[in-house]
Amino acid sequence: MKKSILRVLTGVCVLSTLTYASTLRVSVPAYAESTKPAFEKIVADFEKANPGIDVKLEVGSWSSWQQKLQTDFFSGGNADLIYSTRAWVPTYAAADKIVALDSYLSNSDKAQFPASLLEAAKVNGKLYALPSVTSARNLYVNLDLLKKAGATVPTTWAQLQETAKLVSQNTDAYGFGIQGKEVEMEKYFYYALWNFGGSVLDKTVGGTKSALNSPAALKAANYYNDLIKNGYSQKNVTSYNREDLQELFKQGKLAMMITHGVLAEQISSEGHNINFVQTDVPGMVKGKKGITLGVIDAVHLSKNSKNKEDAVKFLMFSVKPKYQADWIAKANLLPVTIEAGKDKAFEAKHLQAMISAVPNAKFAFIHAKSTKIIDILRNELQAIYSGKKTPEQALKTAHKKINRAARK
Amino acid sequence: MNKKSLKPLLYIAPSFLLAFIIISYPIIDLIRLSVNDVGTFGDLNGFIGLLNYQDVFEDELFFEVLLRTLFWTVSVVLGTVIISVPIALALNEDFYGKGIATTIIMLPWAISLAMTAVIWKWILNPEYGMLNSVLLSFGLIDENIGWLANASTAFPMQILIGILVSIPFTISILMGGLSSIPRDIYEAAFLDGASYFTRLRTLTLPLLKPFINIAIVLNVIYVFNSFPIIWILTEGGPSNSTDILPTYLYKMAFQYGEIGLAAAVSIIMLSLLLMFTFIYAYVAMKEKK
Repeated sequence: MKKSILRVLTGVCVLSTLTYASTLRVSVPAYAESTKPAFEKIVADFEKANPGIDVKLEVGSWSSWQQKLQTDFFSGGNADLIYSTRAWVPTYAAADKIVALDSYLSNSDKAQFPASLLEAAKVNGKLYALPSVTSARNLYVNLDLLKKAGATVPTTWAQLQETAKLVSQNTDAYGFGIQGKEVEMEKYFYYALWNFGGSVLDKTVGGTKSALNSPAALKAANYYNDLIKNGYSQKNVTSYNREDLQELFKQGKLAMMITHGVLAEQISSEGHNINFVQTDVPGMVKGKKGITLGVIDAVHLSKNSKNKEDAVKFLMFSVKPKYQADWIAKANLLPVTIEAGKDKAFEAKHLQAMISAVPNAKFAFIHAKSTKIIDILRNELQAIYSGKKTPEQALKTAHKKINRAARK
Repeated sequence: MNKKSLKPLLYIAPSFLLAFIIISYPIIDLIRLSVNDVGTFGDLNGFIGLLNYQDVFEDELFFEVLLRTLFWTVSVVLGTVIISVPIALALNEDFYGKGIATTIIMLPWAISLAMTAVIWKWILNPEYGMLNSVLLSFGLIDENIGWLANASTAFPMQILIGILVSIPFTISILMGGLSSIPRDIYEAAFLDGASYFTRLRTLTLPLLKPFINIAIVLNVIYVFNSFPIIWILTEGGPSNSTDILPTYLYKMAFQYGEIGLAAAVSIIMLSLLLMFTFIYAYVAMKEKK
């Protein structure tokens, strides 16, 4: 009897040793079809290299990602490592849902990332997120349409207006596409806003007040409004999201638009016969590149994670150049570490065009109330684009509402 | 109350209790959230009484959205009933191809609401949409119309789609009602020389009234809470001009992270629906008496 009890106890002990493994949950939004298999490969390699760690991977849709994360945090069922956007970092940090990574990362870990990317991911000086993927926007120009219209590729905003005018007057196509709804709609306004010298929030007061009452903001809003009123952009601007504009460009019905590298890849993979160039966003003076939009997505470490060290281990494992080449390049985006930037996977022409835009890229503001502020701005811009309000009226309302929202 | 009369109550008690818990739990939780200061991720930061309700009522957009929701509900429900009654009457008659006609009319019910909305989004696309192509080819318009670019065209379109997707359900209720009307009363009326319209006015419609009432109440509840059509087509835009309470509520909860305010809006919506149902039930019962 004693012997059999001893056997059972020994068996339990052996079994518990064998099955003991810390479980790490990782949530990733799908950037492309390749995201899931690429991450499954990272997980398999990581588990092989770290036998004591079991990784549970969740890959979801971008369109409902914010809602998923919110309900995950709400129920306490959030993952240890969460891939999302930089824009939500202040909200998570303010709600004490994520931890600063500074103490978990060694100097050599941090040195793998360009300083500008790390700086952009900071909130109140603390590194609450590590960049997971980045991109920059280019001006796409249909060269055949410009040739037909007798216009040249614009390098300044004044030239862009002239080119848009010539295209709309001399061809059946639209001049310059303006995004009027959905994801990144407000960012399409930033190109003009930033280049005319404006911003959404006033940095001099710590980014807590609206800066939309500036002459630069009015100039930018008037610029887009004039393009619409004069028929130099597509009609019914508020009907067009980013994908709709890209579709117009691919069909040869739009001469110019600003977007990311996916468009170039789609033109080639879908077999569209478009003679185009992916160039820099126009500047204010000839010969000087304009400011473009840089986008950083980020990965956060949950505060309630019981495996913070393992999570950071996975994080640093996942940024190895070969993995970034696998999932980031395939999604037509840019890597986040210096070493990965040298990988051949990023030598593709459309990715190189984005890389050349990075030095002139500016990142959008981040704020704990950013979604509310963005929504206010989108609504007022739509009011301008649909002719409901003048730029003065809309910016005045946006300024007032944003100040109220940012204060709360 | 004797033992015999208690027995049935005892039998239904477990199911009643289960249903009560399932139905009441979310409502109680919503009330709790609506009287607390709630963080973006559901953290309760203390009791604040009716402050969330005050904030909702101070938001001028709320009243704009509330009025639009009422307009949306009345238009869709009224339009649905007005169209469904003659269709149901026609389908109740015997004619060649009745099976095919019934299938075609009921077909939208088999497609998910979200998918229907996505298909309509394509149809209404200003550049490649089928509607513009058809209207252009018939010479009814000179240039493409951006149906979803302005509320003046987007909202009526959304109402039309709302009516279209509500018709099959309404017809199925009305068909059930029509099949319960005995045939012999029509034969008697026919022998008495009553015309089709006299039979319709004096027999069919009065006997169909309880079913029309059910269709109205259920449709009001469904349409008032309907989310996919508006969200997929315009997300309540441009500039909140097609927002209805469910989309306004969704933005509040999942975009702005204002859970307390969203809970207050939910309770207001629930109260409005309950109020409507009670008033309607009271009026219908009074008429019956």
